[in-house]
Amino acid sequence: MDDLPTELVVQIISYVPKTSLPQLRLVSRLFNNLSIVYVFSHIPQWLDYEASHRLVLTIAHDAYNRPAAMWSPWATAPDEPCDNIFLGIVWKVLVGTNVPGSNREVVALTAWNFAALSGREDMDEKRLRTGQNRFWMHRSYAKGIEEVSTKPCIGVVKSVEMVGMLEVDCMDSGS
Amino acid sequence: MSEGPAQTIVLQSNDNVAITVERKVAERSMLIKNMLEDLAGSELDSAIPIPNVNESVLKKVIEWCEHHKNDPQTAADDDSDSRKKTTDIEEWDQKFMQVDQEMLFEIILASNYLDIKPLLDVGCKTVANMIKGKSPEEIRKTFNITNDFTPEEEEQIRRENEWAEDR
Repeated sequence: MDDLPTELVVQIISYVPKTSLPQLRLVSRLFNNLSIVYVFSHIPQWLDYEASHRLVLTIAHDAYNRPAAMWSPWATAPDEPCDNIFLGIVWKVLVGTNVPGSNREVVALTAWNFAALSGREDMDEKRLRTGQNRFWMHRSYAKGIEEVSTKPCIGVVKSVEMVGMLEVDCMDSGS
Repeated sequence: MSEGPAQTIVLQSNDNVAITVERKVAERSMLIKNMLEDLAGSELDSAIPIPNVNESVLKKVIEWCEHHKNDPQTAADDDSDSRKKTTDIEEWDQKFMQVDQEMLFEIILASNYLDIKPLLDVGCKTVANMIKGKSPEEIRKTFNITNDFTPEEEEQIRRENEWAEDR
């Protein structure tokens, strides 16, 4: 594999199924650098207000697979603060350089300084937070609460569980 | 009166072996096809040197071109949905690619140099299938790759992977 030029390794990676890419990242620094964009190719769509809203709507409108209790896609989304790991991933996908703060730089990356440090003025705190939380929400709906309990969506799942309980309570009291 | 283009041409590998091949077969290589078109009307009285490919690899590539000589030419940028078709390799090609790893990579390099995109795709898909479903350690072992991560870097990637798409 060492004899192959980078562009051919990239072409090989482009054929690896998405489910195998996280393991491939862990092989070596080269494979990590070349595959990270493919592993997180879904992230930009969550940072697009309209696209991420459509994705959540798709699940809400799926009568057969949607969970019994879920946030209304039209209501205010769960409001968890931005996770540092998520911020780092967004930085790597959009900016492509080392995450500020990862090499003992003075300034560490936060949701509030992301736009200024990256030069991406559109990536303000609200956009990052909304993107992250819609991703969490979508994942918890798509996979089911039991399956995602070990993945980064616990805060939202708890919220959804509470909403579900509230909905059930309301229905019970109304009947 | 012109007799039209020659029906066979001679390719010369980098270890100086001349291989006569049907023109239609050789034209699976866009590099050779374009070269022959540029020479249209001129006499091709010597072998075409293929400086990056040795005899055994060139013969293997010609074998593939022979089998696929009547396939329609694919569009150069027809990459749509390629990720979903990883295992979509036709049976003959799967058997063709049952070679040792060194030969497999040589075929990929040769098909890239000779600009034979369908063969390059088959080669890349074959390697991708060797990666599919394996653990990092199994992939390293398969391709003899050294783990150059620190434990901290590995832990960071594992945490980031929690944000990967589930399907």
